Amino acid sequence: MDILEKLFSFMLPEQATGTASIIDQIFYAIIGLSALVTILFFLVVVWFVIRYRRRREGEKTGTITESHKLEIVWTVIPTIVFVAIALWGWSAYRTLEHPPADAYPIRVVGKQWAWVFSYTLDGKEIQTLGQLNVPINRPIVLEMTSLDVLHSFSVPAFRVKKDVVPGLKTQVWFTSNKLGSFQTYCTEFCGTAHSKMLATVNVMPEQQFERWLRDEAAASTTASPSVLGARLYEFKGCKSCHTLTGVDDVGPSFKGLVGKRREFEEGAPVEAADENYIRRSILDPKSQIVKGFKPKMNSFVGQMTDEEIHQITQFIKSLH
Amino acid sequence: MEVESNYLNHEKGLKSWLCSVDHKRIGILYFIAVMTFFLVGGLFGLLVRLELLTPTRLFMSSDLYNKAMTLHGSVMIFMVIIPGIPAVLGNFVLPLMIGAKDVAFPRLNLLSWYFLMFGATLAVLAIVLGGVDTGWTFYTPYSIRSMEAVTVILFGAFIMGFSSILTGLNFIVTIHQLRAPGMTMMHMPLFGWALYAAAIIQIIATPVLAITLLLLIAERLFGVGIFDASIGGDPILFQHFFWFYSHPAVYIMILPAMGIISEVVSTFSRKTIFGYKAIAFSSVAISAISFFVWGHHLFVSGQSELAGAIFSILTVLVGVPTAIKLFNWVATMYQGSIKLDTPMLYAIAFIGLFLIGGLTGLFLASMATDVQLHDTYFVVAHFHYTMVGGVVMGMFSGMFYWMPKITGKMYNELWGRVSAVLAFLGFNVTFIPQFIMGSQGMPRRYHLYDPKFHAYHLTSTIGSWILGLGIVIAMIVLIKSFKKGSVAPVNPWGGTTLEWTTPSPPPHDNFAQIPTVTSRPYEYN
Ligand code: HEC
Ligand SMILES: [Cu+2]
Ligand SMILES: [Cu+2]
Repeated sequence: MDILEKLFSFMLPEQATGTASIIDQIFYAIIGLSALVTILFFLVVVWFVIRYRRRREGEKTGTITESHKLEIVWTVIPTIVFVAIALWGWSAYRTLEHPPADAYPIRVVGKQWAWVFSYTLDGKEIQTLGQLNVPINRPIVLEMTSLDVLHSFSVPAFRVKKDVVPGLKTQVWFTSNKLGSFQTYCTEFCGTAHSKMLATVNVMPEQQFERWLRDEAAASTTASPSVLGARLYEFKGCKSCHTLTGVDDVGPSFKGLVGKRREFEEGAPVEAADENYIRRSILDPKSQIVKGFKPKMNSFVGQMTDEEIHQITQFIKSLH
Repeated sequence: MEVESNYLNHEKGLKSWLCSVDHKRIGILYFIAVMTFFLVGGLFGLLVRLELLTPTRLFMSSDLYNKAMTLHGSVMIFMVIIPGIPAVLGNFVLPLMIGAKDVAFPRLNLLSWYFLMFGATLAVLAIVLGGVDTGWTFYTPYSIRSMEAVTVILFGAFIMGFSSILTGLNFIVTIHQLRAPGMTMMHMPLFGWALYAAAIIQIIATPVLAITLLLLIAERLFGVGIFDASIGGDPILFQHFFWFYSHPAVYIMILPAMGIISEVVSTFSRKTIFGYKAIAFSSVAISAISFFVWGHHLFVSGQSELAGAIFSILTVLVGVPTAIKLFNWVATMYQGSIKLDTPMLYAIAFIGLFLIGGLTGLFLASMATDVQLHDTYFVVAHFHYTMVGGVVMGMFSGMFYWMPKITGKMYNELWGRVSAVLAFLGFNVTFIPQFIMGSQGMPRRYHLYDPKFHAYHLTSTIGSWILGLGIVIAMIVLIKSFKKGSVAPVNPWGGTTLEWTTPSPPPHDNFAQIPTVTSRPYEYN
C-alpha cells in the first residue's frame, strides 16, 4: 500500500480531513490492481502479436477452441475481486455518510451562481457569501438545499461531494484537520456561470472562529438599510446579472436607475423608475421586460421578505 | 469487360437510393448520415477542447461553451454511437452473415432511417433556434427552465428513439426467422449474437426514454409538476428514468462493437474463436444485468445508502462478462497466425482502451471513491475510454473489415494503419490527463477552470488534434475506397462467415443460392 501511495499520490489532491485517507486507500488499491492488469494484458498481447505473427499464408494454427477450466477461473476471480471492491467501497461510504451527533450545523443554500452559508448565534442569523468559515478539528455538518436548479457541493481536499437539490435537504459532514483555505466547486451543471460557482472553505482555530462569528452578529444589528441592501445584492445573486458600474450585463446596470425613463419590449413606458417599479421588477420581472434584454430574471416571490426588498431598494436608490 | 450486376449498379438515380428497401443500400444511407453527424459532433468536440486550451475565456462565451458541449454530447450519443454500428454495419452485414436475402421487415428498415433523419432535422432546427445548453443528460429542473429550443431537441431525441427501436425489432425477428438452413443459434457468428443482445435493450429500454422525454416536454409546456420541485415534482425522479434507459444504452452502443472484435480477432488470427459459448452468453448476460445498475449514477444525489450499495454490487457484476470477453479474445490470439492489418490494429486498440475503460469503471462503481470522482473529468475520461476507445475503435475496425465487401474495392492499407496508430496515440494523449485532473477534483462541464489544471487541459487539447487527424484520415481512406482501389476478391481476409462467400460487392439479392450451413463458424484448419 505504501508503494502504491508513493506511485500514485500525484493523482489525488492534498488530504485535509481525517476521513480522506479512507477513500484514498480504496483508490490506491484499485489503481494498483488496474495498473497490474493493464501491464499484464499489454505484455501478453504484444508477446502474442510478435510470437504468432503471420510468417506465411496458410500456415497451421492452434486448434484449442475452449477450456472450461480457464473460463471458470476468469469468471470466478474477477467476480470475487470486483464484489470485494464494491463491499469495501460501501463500508467506507457508511463511515463517510453519517455525521457524529455533536457535529456543528451550518446551512448552505445553492443558487445560480453562488453559495450562501448561514450560521446561528444566540437566535440571530449570520450569512456569508462564498466563504465558508469553519473551526479546525470539529465535526461540521452542512445542511444543504437549492433555490433553483440542481447544484452539487464538492470540496476535493475533504473528499466530500453531495448534490444540492431544490425541494430536498441533503447533507455532508467533515472534520478538517488542516488550517488554511480550500477550494469548493459546484459539480452539477447549473447553467451559464456554472464554472464560476465557487467558494472557499477557511479552516481556522476555534477561538478565531468564535470571535469572527460574534463580530459578524454584532455588525448586522447596527447597519443601515442601504448597507444591508448592499449585502443582499450579493447574497441574493443580483450581482451575477446586474452591475453597479453603469455597464449592462445579463440585466441592466443598477447605476442611476431610480428616476430614469424605462422602455419595455411590450407595453407603455414608465416615465421615471421609482420604488414601486423596483419592487414590481423583483416580484414580477416577466411582466415588463426592459427593452433590449431577455426575460432571464426569475421572480423572487418567496425568496425575499418585504424587509429585504425595502433594504435592496434603498441600496439601488443610493447608486447615482 | 462486363461489370457484374451488384447492389450498387442494380438500379440508378437518387430515388432508387432514397426509396430502396435493400438492407445494403439502407446501410449505405446510414453510413452517409452517421459519418456526417460524426463530423459535426467531432467538430463540436474539437471546439470544446480548443476553448479549454486556456483557463480563461479564449473565443467562446460561457453560454456558447455550454451549447457546444451539449451538442457534442447529444449528437455523438443519439446520432452517432447509438445508430453507428447496428444501423450501418449491422444492416449491411447481418443478413449476409446469416445467409438471408434481407432483413425481416425491409420497409420498416427504410422507415427507421427516415425517423433518424427526421430526428436529426429537429436537432438542426434546435441549433438554428438558438441552441441547447442543458448537457446531453437534460437534468431537471434546469432543462425545464432553459431556452425554448430544448423542447425541439427533446422531441428530436424522442423520434430518433423510434429509429433505434425499429432497428432492434427488425434484427431480433431477422435472427429468429431468417437464418440459413442448418445455422442453429449456436452456429451463428458472434456479431449476430452481439446485435441480438443489443436489440433486446433497444426494444425494452428505449420506450422508457421516450416516455421520459415526453413527460419532460409536458412539464415544459404545461407545468404538470412531475419533475419540478417548485410545483410539487421530484427532480431526482428524472435521473432514475433517464438512467434506466441511458445506462443500458451504453451497452446498445458497446455490445455490437464487441461483436465486431470477436469477428476481427478470429479472422486476423486465422483461429477459431476461443470460448464461443462464453462470448455469446456473456453478451446476453451483459444486456440482462445492464438493466439493474442505473443507480450508480446517483450515489451522491441523495439516494438511500442501501439502494446505493445494491446498485454498486450489481454494477461490478456487469464487469464480469466484460472481463470474460477480453480474456477470450486474447486467448484466441494464442497460437494464431496474426496479421496486423487495419481492422486488427483497431481491434487491438479496442482491447487495450476498453480494458482501461472497464477498470476505471471500478473506481466509479465503488461508492466511496465515486464520491471523489463523480462529475469530474475522471468520469469524462472513463466514458470516452469506453465509448471512443470502445465503440468508435470497434466501429472503425468493422468498417475497414467489411469495406472491401461493401465497395468491392480494397482501401489503402498503409493509410488505414496510419489512421489507427494516430487515433490510438491521440486518444491516450487526450484522455489520460483527464483521469489525473479529474482525480484532483476538476469538475466536468466547466468553461473556466483553475490554472492549476492548465497543463493537463493543454495536453488534452493537443491530443484531441492528433485524434481528430487520425479519424479524418480514416474517413478519407474509407470514402476513397468507394471510388479508387484495386478490385477486392470475394474473401480478402480469409474469413469463414457467410458474407465472405458472396461476391464483393454482393449482388442485389445477396446470394445466387441460399447457402446451407453444416459447421460452426470460425473453422480454419
Ligand atoms: C439571472 C439574471 C438576473 C438575476 C439573478 C437578477 N436579475 Fe434583475 N433583471 C435581469 C434582466 C435580464 C432584467 C431585464 C429584463 C427584465 O426586465 O426582466 C432585469 C431587470 C431588473 C430590474 C429592472 C431594471 C431596469 O433597468 O429597469 C430590476 C430593478 C431588477 N432586475 C432587480 C433585481 C434584483 C433586486 C435582483 C436580486 C434580488 C435581480 N434583479 C436579480 C436579470 C437578473
Ligand atoms: Cu453548477
Ligand atoms: Cu451507467
